[in-house]
Amino acid sequence: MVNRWIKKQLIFAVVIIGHLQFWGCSYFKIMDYPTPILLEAEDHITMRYVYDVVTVLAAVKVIEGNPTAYRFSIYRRDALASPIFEKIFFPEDSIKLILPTDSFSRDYIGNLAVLTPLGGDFQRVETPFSVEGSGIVRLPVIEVRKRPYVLTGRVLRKSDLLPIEDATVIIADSLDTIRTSQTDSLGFFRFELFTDVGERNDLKLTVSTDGYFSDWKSAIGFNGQKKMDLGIYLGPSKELLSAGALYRVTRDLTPFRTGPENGAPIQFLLSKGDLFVVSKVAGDRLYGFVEISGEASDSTQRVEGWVLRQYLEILP
Amino acid sequence: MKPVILAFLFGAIGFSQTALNIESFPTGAVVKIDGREIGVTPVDSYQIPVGVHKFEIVKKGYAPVKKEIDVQDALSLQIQFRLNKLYDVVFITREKGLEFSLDEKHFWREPKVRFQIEEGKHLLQVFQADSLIDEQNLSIDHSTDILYKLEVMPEEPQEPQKSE
Repeated sequence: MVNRWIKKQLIFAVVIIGHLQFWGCSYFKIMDYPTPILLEAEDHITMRYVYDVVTVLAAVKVIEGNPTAYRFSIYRRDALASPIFEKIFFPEDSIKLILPTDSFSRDYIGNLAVLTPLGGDFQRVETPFSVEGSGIVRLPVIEVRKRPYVLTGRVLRKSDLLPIEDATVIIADSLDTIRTSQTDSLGFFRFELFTDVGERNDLKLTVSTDGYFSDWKSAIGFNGQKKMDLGIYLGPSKELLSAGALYRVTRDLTPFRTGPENGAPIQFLLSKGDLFVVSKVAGDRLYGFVEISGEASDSTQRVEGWVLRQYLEILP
Repeated sequence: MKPVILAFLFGAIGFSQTALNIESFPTGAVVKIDGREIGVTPVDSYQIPVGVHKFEIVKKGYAPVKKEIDVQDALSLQIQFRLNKLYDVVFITREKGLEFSLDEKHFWREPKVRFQIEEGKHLLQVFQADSLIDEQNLSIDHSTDILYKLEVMPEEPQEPQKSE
């Protein structure tokens, strides 16, 4: 009985040993994977840069109107396509913003602050400024006004339509000069008039050329429009220059009479510089015509009459 | 003398530096920049030239983080690394003739494999004769044994053909 049990155990042991001899310990062997298995995710890294900063402070003064809010934008002037900062502020807010120094251009007035008032017909205000380094930049007080009335015009010589440069253009009322400008090399001038001026109806526009041509004067009114463009023609027309002997009036308030005799009715008074085309002479009195220009147009009208010789000089 | 001054000026412009503050969670990780060990987290005010650098954060028992960072010209740069734990996982299967893949990068055929695996979600894919036959998401948050068994899907009953 015991021998049989020993025999069975021996056979079992031989089988096990033989099996292990042939297969090794592969049943119990575990392979180690050579590298750690990592997720390689990016979400467990956070980065934050700290830059030198510039604090921009702006104060807004409402001159006219009641804007509901302001859109305040900062641009680099070398990249005006998109702002480096933009935010809506309300009138009671103080405009203060802190931006990294690197955002700004270091060029002289290389940056632009733009305030766009919202809620009405307001003028957008642009304020160029410089940033030299970190610190505080205080912008000048930004004045909020309604969009201005714009008067533009061009001053031309009537005879050949060439532009008249450096003509003095004056906007005045019955008491005082309000604005003055000069024409550029192309004869252009431009005025931006705020509401308090633009909405008046007693304004007069004068264009003078230091006596080279007679002054041009006209009343102006915007009549509810925001823009007005004028074409102003000075001097004699081409027809006048070729009409005959040309004289220039040498004294203001020179009587222009209907007849040669003393006491003949005065049609109107001529100004110094007016041109007079002579066709007939009777002693010290000359007969001819002057041109009267229509207001703000190149239309002219000929008026015939008499002028004393002593108030005229012949043009070469 | 002049070339020396010029060289110095150009050098100053070309090598502007940014102060690095590096934190890791957990702390105590070794920080290597461009292969050079610079200290153990937290690292404060380490001056580094502006430009691209290779960062490596290593801590035993945690997944190392390698990252290439383009350091900008700034007053300072604060970087926080969150390190994930590495767990020991033993993968066991009794299925025959299968190939396994983790995250589409790591492949094996052996029935028992021990991994060091970063905590988080991993994708296990099973192939038989180059065909994908199973796909599972493994969420690893502790050391464990994974016993894989291929579940045979019951065949869908065929609809009887209609006779015209």
